[in-house]
Amino acid sequence: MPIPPLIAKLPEVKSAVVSDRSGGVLEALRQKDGESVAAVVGFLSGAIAEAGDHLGLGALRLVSFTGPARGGVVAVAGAELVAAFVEPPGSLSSVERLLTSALERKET
Amino acid sequence: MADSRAHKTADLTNLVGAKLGNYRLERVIGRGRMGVVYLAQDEALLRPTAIKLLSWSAADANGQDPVQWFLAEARLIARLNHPRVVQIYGAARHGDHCYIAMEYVPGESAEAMVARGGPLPPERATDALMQAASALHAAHRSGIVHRDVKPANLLMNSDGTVKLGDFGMALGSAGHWTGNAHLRVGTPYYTAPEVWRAQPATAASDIYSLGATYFHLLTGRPPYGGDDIGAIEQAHLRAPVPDPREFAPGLPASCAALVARALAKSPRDRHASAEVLVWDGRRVLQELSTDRGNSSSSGPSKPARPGSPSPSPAQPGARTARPLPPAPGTLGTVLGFARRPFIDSHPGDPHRHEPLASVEKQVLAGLADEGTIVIALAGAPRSGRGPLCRALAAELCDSRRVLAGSLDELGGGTVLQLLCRAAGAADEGTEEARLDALVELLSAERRIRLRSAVVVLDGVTSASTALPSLSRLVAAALWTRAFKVVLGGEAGIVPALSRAGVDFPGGRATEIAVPPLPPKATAPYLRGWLDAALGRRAPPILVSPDAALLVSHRSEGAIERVNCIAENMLVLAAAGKGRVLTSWHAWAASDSERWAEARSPALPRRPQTWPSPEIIDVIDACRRAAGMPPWPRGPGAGA
Repeated sequence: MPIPPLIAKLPEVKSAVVSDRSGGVLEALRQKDGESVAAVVGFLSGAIAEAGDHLGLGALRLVSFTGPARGGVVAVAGAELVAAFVEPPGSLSSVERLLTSALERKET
Repeated sequence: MADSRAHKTADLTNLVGAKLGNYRLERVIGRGRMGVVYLAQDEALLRPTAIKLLSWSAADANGQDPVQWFLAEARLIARLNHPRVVQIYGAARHGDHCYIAMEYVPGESAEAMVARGGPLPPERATDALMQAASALHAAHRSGIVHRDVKPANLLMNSDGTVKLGDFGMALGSAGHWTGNAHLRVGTPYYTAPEVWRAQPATAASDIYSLGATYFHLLTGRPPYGGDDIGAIEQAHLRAPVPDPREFAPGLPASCAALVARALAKSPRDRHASAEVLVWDGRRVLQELSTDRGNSSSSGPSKPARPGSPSPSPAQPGARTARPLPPAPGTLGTVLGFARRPFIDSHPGDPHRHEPLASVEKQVLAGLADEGTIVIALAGAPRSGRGPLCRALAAELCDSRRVLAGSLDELGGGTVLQLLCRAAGAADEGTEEARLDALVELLSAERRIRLRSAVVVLDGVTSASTALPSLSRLVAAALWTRAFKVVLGGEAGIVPALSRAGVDFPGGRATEIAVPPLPPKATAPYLRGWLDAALGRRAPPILVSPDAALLVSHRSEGAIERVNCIAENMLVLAAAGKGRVLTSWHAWAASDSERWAEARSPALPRRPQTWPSPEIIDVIDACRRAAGMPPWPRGPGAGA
């Protein structure tokens, strides 16, 4: 899945990366080290998916996390992971909505 | 004239009490065609001495000047300095007599011993054979053919040692019988077929004679008996080799097999040398010992000779379950490694990754197979065969005697010196003596533990200058079966040893390839090491798939190169205080120098732009092979 153009155009999305589940970078937007980010996202999604299983949440779809300066959201799109990094973190919820609707469109 | 000489010979037996030089003749202890042997007392050195007086008729019969001929014999034997050859003290002419003063061996000849007490037990007979063969080998190496090996010339000392005596017939070796080179010599019952055909006696004919002697010791009779010389000749030439078990039913098959080989009609089919005969004898002794141990169920038998080694592991520092050493420098302080990753000395989990785990299993299965003596581990340099050899040595040393080393460690020494050092054996000075000492030591170990010892040597190449020594070692292993040999090196070691003269019977040698680490296995291999070495509370170290692909590409799957690159990637990551290993780390890390061991390594810096288009091409090639989509390109793609 390519990075959704709507997200790519949002000024608060500072960078975005698409990777496979093993952490291999497939696409990177405004990201100098997409490879490292993809590796971390791959690791993170694996760990979170495992945690979600333990908690009975079912298949992982979306993970958000925020820090004082930035936030991030990782969405699962089939065999791929889309990660977007947002600044300020308060803008994360709008990016989450856009990502979720993009995923739903893809699924239908 | 002939009567006169016969008279002189007869006179030689009548000299008790006479004094020749410092020697007072006490009694006749032997008679032969060459002369008469007295026990004498050396009145200067006060020691018993054997004095051999020349029979003039024997010398004359060959058209030689008797004195020159006799002295030539003395000089010939004096060239031999071997503990199993009767030592010469001196030779002189005294009045009408020429004599040789030589070591007196208390006891009796093997012929007399068998005549008195019947056939010898197979262990005793085989031990005598080995000692005599060892003397013969020394003679042959000096260019001397004995020509008259027979039970009467095996002097059985009361302390168990056996000495080969009466080299009187050997004069042809030194060129004194040039005009009669094809003259048949020796004693009919023990004479080789080719000598019966008037061909020159050779080392191989001595081996035949010793084989016939062995037959006599085992059964109490020569292989082809009777009084009719013509019939004896025909039997040596044409009759099938008799099985000693027909005359001594309880004999083990190994004794019969040795006899059959030594008595082969064609010299080519006999033992290749007297040394090989020693080794074959040693194997027979082992089998006798093993059979006894198995049948008596009274535990392992003890070594036959004093001074045998104790059953302690030989490989210092080679232990199973050895912990990993601590992490060096920044790997510990920055990345939180508790132990050093990607080293080769740990026989634990990471080394057991495929493909090395299955190679190790194959080697262990080969060692467990009784018939397999030599296992060649074939792999490219840094393929992992070195660590595998070390891991195998460590694995085996709890249950077997293991001698391990690498030809890379030889320096100016030899393989046998290296192994003697590893065995804690004294350096005997010559390669032959070293090999003999090693074989004896390892044979004793086998008798004690009832399992073959293992020699593990890495770094073997077909062009190695050590190949001749190695060939002898391998030949000794094949013959004695006292130990097995694992050779790590390039492909084609076994054919190279064959070219160097080692004869590998079917199934005795096997070559196992050390395959490269497959690209798909690289990531799990790296993960395995990281998980094994990281401290419990340390955050994870991540490896990008492209990093793993590049490690595989650069190392070509050679484990030692993988290890080197991977550890250097960690050093780079620590320098950048990062925990993700990327394609840049995999590309920039040295595959030859271990940066963690360098004092202040000049580490590469990550470029502003990574990766360059050329490197993207390489990554893409790796990705294609792995079934991955290409590296992202275009504006904003990350570069």
